[in-house]
Amino acid sequence: MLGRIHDLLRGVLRSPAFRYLRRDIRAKIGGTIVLLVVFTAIFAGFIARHDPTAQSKDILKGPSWQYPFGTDGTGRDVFSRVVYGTRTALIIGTLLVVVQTLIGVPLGLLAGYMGGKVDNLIMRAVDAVLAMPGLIIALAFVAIVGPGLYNVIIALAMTGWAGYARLMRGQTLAIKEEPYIEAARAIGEKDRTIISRYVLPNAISPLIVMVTMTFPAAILLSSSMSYIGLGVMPPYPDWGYDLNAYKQYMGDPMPGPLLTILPGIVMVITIFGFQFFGDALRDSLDPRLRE
Amino acid sequence: MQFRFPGGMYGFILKRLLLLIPIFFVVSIVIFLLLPITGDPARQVLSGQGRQDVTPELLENIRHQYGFQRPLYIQYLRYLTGYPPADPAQGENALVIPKGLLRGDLGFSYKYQRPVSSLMLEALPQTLLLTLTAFVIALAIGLIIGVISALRRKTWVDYTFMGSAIFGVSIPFFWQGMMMILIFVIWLRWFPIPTAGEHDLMYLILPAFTLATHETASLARMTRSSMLDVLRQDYIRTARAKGLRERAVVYKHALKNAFIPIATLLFLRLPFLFGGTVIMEVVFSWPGMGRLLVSSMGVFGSPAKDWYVIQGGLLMFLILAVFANLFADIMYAYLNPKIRYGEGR
Repeated sequence: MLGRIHDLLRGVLRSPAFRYLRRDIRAKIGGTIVLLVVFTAIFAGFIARHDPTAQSKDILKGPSWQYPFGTDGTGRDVFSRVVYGTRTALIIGTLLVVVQTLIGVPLGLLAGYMGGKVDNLIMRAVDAVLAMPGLIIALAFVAIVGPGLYNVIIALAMTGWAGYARLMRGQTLAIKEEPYIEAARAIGEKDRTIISRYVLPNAISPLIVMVTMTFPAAILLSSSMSYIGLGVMPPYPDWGYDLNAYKQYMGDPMPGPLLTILPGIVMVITIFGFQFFGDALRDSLDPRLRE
Repeated sequence: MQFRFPGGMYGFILKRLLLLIPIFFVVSIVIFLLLPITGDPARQVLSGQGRQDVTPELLENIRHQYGFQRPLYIQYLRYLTGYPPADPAQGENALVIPKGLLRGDLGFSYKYQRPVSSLMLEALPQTLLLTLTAFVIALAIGLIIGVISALRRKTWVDYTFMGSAIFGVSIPFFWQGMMMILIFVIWLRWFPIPTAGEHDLMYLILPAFTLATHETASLARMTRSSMLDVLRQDYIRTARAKGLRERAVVYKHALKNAFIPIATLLFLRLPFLFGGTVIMEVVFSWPGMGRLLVSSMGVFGSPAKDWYVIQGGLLMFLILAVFANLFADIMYAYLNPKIRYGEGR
């Protein structure tokens, strides 16, 4: 087992894609941001200086050593709330990736491999879903079943799986024509084995790009939903929810607007990091662009 | 004997238009089912009105007023056509019984005490105004940035533009909207405070530009890569080889061909833009369908929901999305005579 992981890692590190990635400025900047955000989420308890839900007598204080981003209307430390917010953001991103992969990837493989009526049926559904305004459908779903972390994930996955399915179908269609698939058929491999042992591993790199790109989209959409009030609800600290709560201080004199500016900048940098890294990753895995 | 559609562009458009009919039925069934499959509709209506004193008699009363006691297919028929009409003998209230989608009725809003269709008709032009203004802004700026980036490939101009494009798609609409209000309304006082009341052009500028940011950025990226693809083609080399001026090569030959994939993607992205419009309308108190829809959804966990407004708003947005796709298809067929629109796609 360890040997296989070692081989895999060595294979990745020696691949032309990784060599390209290491020289790409976007990958350096984006990768650093992504690592920082993941680190922050894991060690939130050590980085935050206060309990994100603890109220204090220091109400609406400006940034200081004790409260790096200041305090809000109930005396909570805004920096700690932003730090813990990374957890919510990454949990939503991760679970969304898992759900969308579990629905979209098998359907895409099936459509591409089987072809004919199955393909037609699945792709009709994919086209229909992709044509719909995902955010509005997600909002309507949450309005009906109620807000909350898991409902937000289900709501976003309802339309998000279609992109995964379309990607996997395209990959499968191309891979199906490869000689090694014909060889696998010739030695009598079952369809199931061919899909899982031959098709899937060869379609993995665009899937990795898709997964990377799901994170910024998830943070963007989920924070918008919780800003409106149809998303993540307390006790999970959420950037969108907090920004909505802090917008009432925008018209106040100076420490007031900082409550919306500073957490917002952190949110934008996070999304930007994932986006930048994903962009470099996509180019690095595309041999035509690597030149 | 099979009916054959007339070939060519008109046949293609006709076929696409006919396809709208089944799509409309599927969408209407899904939207109709929203209420019954998520629980007891009578209870939903009461909690939507914020009533706390729910008694079995009251539930029964509401059930009959709204006609929920009828079988589902009768209710759907009613939702679609308004038939059978309200029956006072069964306690059905003619005001709240649907009079039929096909007759342009979307139900009755108990929050506004008005027919949903008239609310929607007031809000629709506002939503279209905001979305299309943003669309045009994005188209103009995005194309220019994309073309310049492609022509100045791998120079600092290109890097700056493309870097800001990625940054542009990283800013959530709502936060950008808040910052626009903070800077241009609160600090600089260039624009009036957003309200849902009287409007003039000054109110449109901030939300339209904010909404256009994402589109501009992604359009610039699409234009750049499409231009680069085209500039690599043989006919561009030919055009250059025969001594055409660079201007003519770029604007006559390259841009025209690069525009084909862009035009299609543009319309396909409209549904995404509608999502942004909803957020913008909430942030800037813009009196469009998005704000209407969200305000009827019971935000921040409050149970007050205006069901027919949710149904109606969703229906309107889905129809807009369907039309955006129709335009994308037609545009694609029109600009790309190679596709065989005579045969079934």
